[in-house]
Amino acid sequence: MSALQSLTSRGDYTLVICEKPDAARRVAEALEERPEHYKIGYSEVFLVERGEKRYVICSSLGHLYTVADLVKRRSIYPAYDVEWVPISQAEKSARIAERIRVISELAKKANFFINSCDFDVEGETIGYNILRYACGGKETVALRAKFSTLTAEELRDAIAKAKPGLGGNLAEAGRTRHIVDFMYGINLSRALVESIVSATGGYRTMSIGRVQGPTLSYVVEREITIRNFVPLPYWSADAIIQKDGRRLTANYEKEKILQLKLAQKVIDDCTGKDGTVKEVKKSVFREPPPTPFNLGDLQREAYRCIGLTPSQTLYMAERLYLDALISYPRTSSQKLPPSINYKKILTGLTAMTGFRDHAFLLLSGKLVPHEGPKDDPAHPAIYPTGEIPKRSLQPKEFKLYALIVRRFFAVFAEDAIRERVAAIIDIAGHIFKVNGRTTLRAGWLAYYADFISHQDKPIPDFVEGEKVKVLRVKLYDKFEQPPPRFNQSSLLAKMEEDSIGTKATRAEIIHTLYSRGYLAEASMSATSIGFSVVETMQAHSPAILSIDMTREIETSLERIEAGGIDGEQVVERVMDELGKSLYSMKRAEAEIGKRLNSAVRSVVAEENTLGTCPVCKEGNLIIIRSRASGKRFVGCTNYAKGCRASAPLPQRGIIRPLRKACKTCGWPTISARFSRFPMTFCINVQCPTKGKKWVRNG
Amino acid sequence: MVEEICRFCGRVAIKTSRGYSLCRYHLLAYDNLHSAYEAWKERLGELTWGNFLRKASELPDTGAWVKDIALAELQKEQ
Ligand SMILES: [Zn+2]
Repeated sequence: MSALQSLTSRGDYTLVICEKPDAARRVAEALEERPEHYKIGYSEVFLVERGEKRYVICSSLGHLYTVADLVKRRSIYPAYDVEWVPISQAEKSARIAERIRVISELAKKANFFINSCDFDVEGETIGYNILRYACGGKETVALRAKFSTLTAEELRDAIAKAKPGLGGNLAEAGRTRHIVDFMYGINLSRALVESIVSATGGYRTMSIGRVQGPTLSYVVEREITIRNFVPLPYWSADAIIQKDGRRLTANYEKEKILQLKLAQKVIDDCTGKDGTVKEVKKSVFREPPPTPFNLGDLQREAYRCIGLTPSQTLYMAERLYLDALISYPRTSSQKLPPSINYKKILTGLTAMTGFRDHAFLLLSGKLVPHEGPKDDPAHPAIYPTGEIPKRSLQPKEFKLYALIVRRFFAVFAEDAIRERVAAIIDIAGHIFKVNGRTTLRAGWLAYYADFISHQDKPIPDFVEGEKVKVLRVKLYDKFEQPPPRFNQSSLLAKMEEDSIGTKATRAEIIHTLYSRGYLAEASMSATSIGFSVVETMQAHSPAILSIDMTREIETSLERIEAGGIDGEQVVERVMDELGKSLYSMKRAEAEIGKRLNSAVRSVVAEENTLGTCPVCKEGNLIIIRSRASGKRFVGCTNYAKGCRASAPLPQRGIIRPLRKACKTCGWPTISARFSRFPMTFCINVQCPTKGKKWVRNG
Repeated sequence: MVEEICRFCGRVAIKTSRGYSLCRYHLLAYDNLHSAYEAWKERLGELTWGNFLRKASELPDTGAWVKDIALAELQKEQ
C-alpha cells in the first residue's frame, strides 16, 4: 500500500491546509509532539490523532494557482480571456503538479477542512483557490484558523477555535487584484515587447504594470529634476570662541545668507571683535519611544542600521517567522495588543544572554507599549515570540532578529529626557549660537542603543552678560543641492505613502525594475530604458503611471472586501481603460519599438563597459561573449592595437560594473548576482585579494 | 515632414530656441539655466554670462542636461 493510501484508507479526518511546508510541520508538532509523518514524493504530510479527532496536515508552496490567459501566444494582445490555472500548467513545475495531486487525493476522504494559510488577503486567496480547485468546491464549507505566530500554543488554539470563513469577500478581493494586475501587466508588457519585435525582429523582456508604472515614474521624475538642476550660491558663517580653555563653534543665526554683500558685512563687522553672552536658553524635551514595527518600518530601519535591502529584509523576516522566532511580518499594524502576552515574551527572552538584563528590567515595571496609529485587521505589529533560536542564525539574520527584539524592548520603555542648551552670543550686533545637548534620562535609548546614535554634546556653563573671546569668524561659500536620488528604502517609503502595491509585493517590484534594466546603481538613477518606457506610457497609457488609477482600484478592492460590489464590475472597467491604451500603442508600434531599441542598445553598451583598462590605460575593459564557446569574459577595446588585458567571468548570474577600481590592484570591480545576495569582487586573477574567498556584501 | 530632434539627446524636439532644437527636458534645462543666471546675479552682484556659464558647468551638482546647454552656450561665447 502506498503512503498516500495508508494515510487516507481510514478516512474520517479534518484536512488542514497550510501555506508553506515549515508551517505545516509547526502545526502538526503543535498538536502532537511526534506527529506521524508521511513522505509522498516531494510533499510531506502529517497525521495527528487528538482525542476523538484526526487531523491530516498538508501544505501549499505559496500560490499553487495563477491567472493565465487562454490564448497562450505571447505575441497576441489584448488578452482579456483569463482564468485560474495550476501554476504547474503555466510554468511547468513537477513539484507543484504533484502537490496539487496529493491535496486532491487527501481531500477525497476528508470530512472537514481548515484553511490554515497565513491570515491575510494573500493567504486567504491561496487557501480559497486550493479549497475550490484542488478540493472540489470546499471553499464555502471550510473553517478558518487565525494566528499571527507559529508558536505551538497559538497554533493549537487557532486549530481548536477555527471558525466558518469570512464569506469569501476577502478572497474575492485578492483574486480580483491578481486578475487586474495580470491584465495590465500582460497586455502592456506584450505591447512593449511586440513593438521591439516589430522594429528589430529581436526579443527583449520588457514589462510594465499597475505598480511598476507609478514606481518607475517616481524615479524618472526625480531624475528629471536632478538633471535640470542649477545650484544657487549661498553663504554661511561661524565664529570660533574660547571658553574655559575650550574652543567652541558658534553658528551665525541664519543658516543661509542669500547675498554675498550681506555675508561679507557680517564678517567685516565681526572680525577682531569680542562677543557678549546675551542669553542662555535651556529647554528640556522628551523623546517618546519608537512605535512597534510594521513591515515598512522594519524594512526602512533594517536598511538604515544593517544595510539590508527591503527584499532581503522580507526574505529573512519570513524565515524568522517560519522558525517561530517572530510574529507574522507582512503586517501594516503598529499595535501590540495585550493578548500576545508581553510578560511571557519577555520572560522567554531572559534566556538569551544578550537580552537578559534588559528583559528583566522591563519585567520589573508596568508594561504599556507605545503604539503607532496604523492598524491591520489581520495581524498585530511584528514582535519576537520569546522562543530561543534552535539553529544558529547567520550574522545579518541575527542582527535583524536583534533589531526586532530591541525595538520590542524600546516600545515598552520610558521616554528619553534630554536638554537642549543654546548660548546666544552678540558679536558686533550679529547673533551667533553655541548649541549643546545632553541626555538627562536615557529611557528607551538605552534599550535601542545598538541601533541609534544619540551623541551628547555638552557645553560649558555660560552666564548672561559674560564676555567671550572670539578667535576668528569665517565665511563659507556654499551651493544649494538637488533633491537626493531615491534609494531602496526611500522608494519603498514613497510607495507606502501613496499606497502603491501591497506590503508583500513592494520590495519585489523594486527588484524587478532593476532586473529589467530600468534602474541603475544603488542610488537609483533611471536608465535610458527606464526613461523610454515612461515616455512611451506617457504618450499612450498615461493612467498606468499615475497613482490616481491605482488608488481607484484599491478603493474598489476595499469595496469588494466589504461586500459592496463584485469583482467582475472592477475587471470590466479595467478592460475598457486598457483597450484604449492598447489601440493607441498598436498604431504607433514601429515608432515605439525604434525608440525602445535605441535605449536598450545604449544601456547594454554602458552595462558592458567596466572601466578604463589598467594595462594600456587607453582602451576600455568590456564584457565580451565568445562566438565560439558562448562564454563571457573581459577584454580590452584596444585589442586590435595589441593590448592583451583580459579576465575570466563567472558564467552564471547577472553581472554589473561597480564603477570602482579595486583598492589593491586598480582593476575594475563588479557585482555578480546569483541569488538575492550579490557578491562583489575584483576581476583581476592576479589580484592579491584573490587568495581569499569572494566577498559577500549582501 | 522631417521630425526635428533635440540636438543634445535625439528625443523629439518641441521648440527651437536661439538656434537649438530642444526636447522638453532640454528646453526645461535651457529655461532653468537662464532663470538661475538672474538669481546668481541677485545673490553675487556683478556677474557676466560667460563667467556664470563657466562656474555653473563646473559644479558637481549642476544637472547633466543643464551642463549640455551651458557648454554649448559657452562655445558660442568664445
Ligand atoms: Zn534633449
